[in-house]
Amino acid sequence: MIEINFPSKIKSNIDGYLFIVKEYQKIRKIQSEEIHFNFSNTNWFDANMLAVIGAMADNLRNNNQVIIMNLQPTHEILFRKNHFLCHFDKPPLSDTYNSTVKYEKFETSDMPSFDEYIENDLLSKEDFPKTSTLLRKKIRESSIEIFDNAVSHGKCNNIFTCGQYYRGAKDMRLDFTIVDVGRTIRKNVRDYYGDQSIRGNEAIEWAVEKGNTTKTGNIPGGLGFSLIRQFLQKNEGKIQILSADGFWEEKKQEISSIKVDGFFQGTIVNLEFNLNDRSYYYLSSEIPESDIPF
Amino acid sequence: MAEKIIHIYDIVGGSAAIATADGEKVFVELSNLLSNKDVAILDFEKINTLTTTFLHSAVGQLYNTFDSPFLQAHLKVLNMSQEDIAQLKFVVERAKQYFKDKESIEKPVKDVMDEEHDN
Repeated sequence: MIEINFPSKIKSNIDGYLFIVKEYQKIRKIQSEEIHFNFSNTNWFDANMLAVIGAMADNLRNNNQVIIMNLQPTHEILFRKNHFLCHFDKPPLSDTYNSTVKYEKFETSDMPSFDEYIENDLLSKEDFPKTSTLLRKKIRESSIEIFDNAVSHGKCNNIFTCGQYYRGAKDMRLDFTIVDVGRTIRKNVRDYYGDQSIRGNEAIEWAVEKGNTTKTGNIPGGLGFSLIRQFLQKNEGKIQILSADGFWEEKKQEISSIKVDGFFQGTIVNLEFNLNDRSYYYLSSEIPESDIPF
Repeated sequence: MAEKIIHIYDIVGGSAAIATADGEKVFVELSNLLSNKDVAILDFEKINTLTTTFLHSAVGQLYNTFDSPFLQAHLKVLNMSQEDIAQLKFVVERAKQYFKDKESIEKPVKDVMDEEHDN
């Protein structure tokens, strides 16, 4: 039996991500074990982090048994409402106030279901503020771009997602986390350049710049991350990416890029949207349809 | 020179134009029309979700075959919101650059399937 004792706070910050990926890295190759995820010390839980924990548990369960234990009663209720614990044989609870964002595991081939989930489970909640149609559209499109990115570059079978609304004193935010366990951004960039010395954070820095893509062939790419960044800068939101040994974050136009003491065999992207944003994004000048410069 | 309308909603089967595969279907229709030197009109009526992934596939890859003056004369769009026009503009700029610099941008990639180590 192997036991992972989770810390008192599981937050979507570098410490939160690193704890999980380090534990995963230690045990990801073991087989035929009973693995206990022990949450007896955990009194704070950012629910969007379930995407990371779920991805880890799902991969371990291919060859082992994973048992979730000692959750705080409030967390247990929440995780039955958002269906996380349904993946561990607990029945779901009705989400009476329609306030949670469901934990989900998607096949990479199933983008239509992901889009439906974004519309029905993320953007149509009771707690979702009466925000602008444009903001909803941008949240939906950004999430799909990240999903597609994981499918195209992660070469993985599944994508794990979860979200959480946060009410601040002045604003309301939505964190939405998307995880794939597959090829890392570092590996893609290293192979593209034939340079095995590129660090994880350097690879992410490269990947988020406009026009950079490791895609080859006749379909161009290289805009997804940069347009999401542009949108989140104006929205005063946040983007965090952890892949291989790199962590990269942009918040209020400040960037942190760190080579971390840990390694994740995949990519975690967390998007934080400011839901009180009333901006109208693009229209510095109107472009008639007839004037698109093809 | 005939004008023909391509209804995106009908091709993707709904209001979300998001997937590369759906973009590919539009690309094939567009390529056929443009190869006949027809004018193709992309109608985005009832489309409420549009990704760059779809646009790269549907429109971006046209620049591999057709040049900018030709597309300016033979490609039009209808019923596109301002924010989607802005997105299409980015995709078009990117495609022009991508194919112009293809030799230098696109390097032979050694697709190594071995497991990545943590260093």
